[in-house]
Amino acid sequence: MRVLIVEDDPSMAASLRTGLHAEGYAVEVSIDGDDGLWRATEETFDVVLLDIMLPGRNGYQVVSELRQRGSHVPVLMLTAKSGEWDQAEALDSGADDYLAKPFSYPVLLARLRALIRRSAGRSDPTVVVGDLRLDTVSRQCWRGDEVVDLTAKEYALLEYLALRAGAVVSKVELVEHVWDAARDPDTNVVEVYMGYLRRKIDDGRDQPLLHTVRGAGYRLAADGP
Amino acid sequence: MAREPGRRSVRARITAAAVAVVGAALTLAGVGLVLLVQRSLERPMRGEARARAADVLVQPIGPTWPQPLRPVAAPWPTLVQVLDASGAVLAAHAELAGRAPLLAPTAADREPSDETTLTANGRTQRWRLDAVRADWRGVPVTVVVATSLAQVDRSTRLVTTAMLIAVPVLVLVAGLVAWQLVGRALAPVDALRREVAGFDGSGVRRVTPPASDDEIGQLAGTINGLLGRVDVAREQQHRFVADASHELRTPVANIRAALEVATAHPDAVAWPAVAADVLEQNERMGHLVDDLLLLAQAEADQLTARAVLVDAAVTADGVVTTLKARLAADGRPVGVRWSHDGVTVVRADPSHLARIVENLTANAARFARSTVAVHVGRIGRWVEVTVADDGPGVPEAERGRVFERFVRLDTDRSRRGGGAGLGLPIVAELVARAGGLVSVGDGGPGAVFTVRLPAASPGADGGVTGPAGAAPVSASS
Repeated sequence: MRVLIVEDDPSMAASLRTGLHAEGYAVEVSIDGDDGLWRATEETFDVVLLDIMLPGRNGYQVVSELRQRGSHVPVLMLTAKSGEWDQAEALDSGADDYLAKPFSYPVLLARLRALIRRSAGRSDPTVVVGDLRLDTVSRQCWRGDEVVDLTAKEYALLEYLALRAGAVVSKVELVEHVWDAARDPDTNVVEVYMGYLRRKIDDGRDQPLLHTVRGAGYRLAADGP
Repeated sequence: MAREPGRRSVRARITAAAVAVVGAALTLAGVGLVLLVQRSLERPMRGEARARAADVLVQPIGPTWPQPLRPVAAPWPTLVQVLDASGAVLAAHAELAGRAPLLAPTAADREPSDETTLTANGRTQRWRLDAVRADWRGVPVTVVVATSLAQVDRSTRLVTTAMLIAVPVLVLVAGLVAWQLVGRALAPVDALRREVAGFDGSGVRRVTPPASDDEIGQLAGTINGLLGRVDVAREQQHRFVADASHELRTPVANIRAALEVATAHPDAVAWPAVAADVLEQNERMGHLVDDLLLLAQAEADQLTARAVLVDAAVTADGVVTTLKARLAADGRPVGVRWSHDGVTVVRADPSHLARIVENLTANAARFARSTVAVHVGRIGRWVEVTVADDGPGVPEAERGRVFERFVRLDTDRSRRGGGAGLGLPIVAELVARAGGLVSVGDGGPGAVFTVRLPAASPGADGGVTGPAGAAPVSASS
């Protein structure tokens, strides 16, 4: 999952970048409202973490402009203000949720997961495809009763496919949503990680779940190619 | 509701006053009118009496008086007795037959005339009595003329009755009119009161000005002016609380985020970096609390100032040295030009003076592109400290605002050393306490901040050397 952090405070931005990266998110950081709006419009993100007090456009202006441009990306607003008006204004400007600073980090993670889940049209934090089960909260994976050990990147890749089970997902889309654009710009890395994943969840099992759709991408499904 | 009786009583008091004044005036006028009528009716009576006396004196044809006297023609019923010198009745009209003399001869030509009540022709009336001294064929006689006052009394009674009816009616009308007028005059006041009482402390509050531009209209205008100032003050207070809480919460939020992330992913973070970040945030919070406390103390007049003689140039020298060291440590390519001239001794708290120069130079260093210029000099009876930078400058429209709390023209907090917007307000507060002036101007490129402090009078407190020697200690602290 790819997250854009729009936060001008260097300390807060650094903490969030470190934490979310360790959670397996692909993280991008903007330090002002104008850059944040531009990136949120031009690039693809699964969720945007938006501070309110920003140089350039403030958070309200960014989210309302983003909505006017037709973007439906989930936006979680962070604010050091805690007045009811600020929270109401955040939601009315087009944000999906808000969190008042100082916030609890576990709550932030849970809200990000919930926003991503809802934007994929789901409510259940457990994702099931055939006998494959993903717990998006503890980030664990089971195949039948057997726990499958995945790295953060492998899990992120599998979760992205599982949330779109049955649909064909292109390599470019996977790179955009699972990898940091600045660090891993190559689609070859997808093939490498798909190899790892296939070995861990399909090898030695009767029913393969990961399918390669030639020339189009990949598909996670229990019903064959 | 507790105010209602008070308002009523104004109405009642004005009405009562109107009733009293109108009542007294009409009563006086009524009494005067009755007296006037009576007087004017009675005035011709003495003349008439003399004429009747003369008429009677010609009645005897021989040496004797006709018994009784023949009636005389007069505007009012008139009866006459003629008395001799001893006061005995010589002759009288038939109605007075057998009566004792009505007056003694001594009462002749007396003013005012006497009055009596007589029953004549079966009617009891008030009569006016005039005694007229006369000479009848060489014999002195006194003619007593009684003139009926019945008509006068009737007229007077008529006027009195009219007054007794008219005065209360007029007083009542005056009272009602006063009650109505005062009520109408006070109605807008009551409307204003209700409106003001209805304000609940939220939203924009203004009373509706009455259409008229009278005292009430002016009162409404004054109330609205006051409410406007209250709104501005409230708005400022809200903004201050919002800004202060934002500034205080930000480092708290940063510390919490840094520590929670580090705890959640102990392997993903560099702990010394986390500690450094937390320390920096802690320091930021500490500075903010110190600054807010100083401003609060200054506002409450609880700032303890230990005013001594101190050389501003020595203080500035210490501050500039510290600033140079910090710029070098931060690796910023900003130079500091420092100069001074003249006797620059002021009477001030050394730590406050140092704080003024520190905050101004820190502000200049934050915005300078390449140079900060600090100068301390003597201008007449002022010691002037100027701090100039070659940064973006302060737009003319913002020059008043930069001394307000939490106002930052540069909202980019990521800029190194970006303050919370309290440095310049503290300068303004401390300079004001020291009896000085601070202003900001255009420095060609960049901004120039000028502080003027009153120069200490030479020779005061036994000279400069002692306290001036102590100044560098406070400046370097």
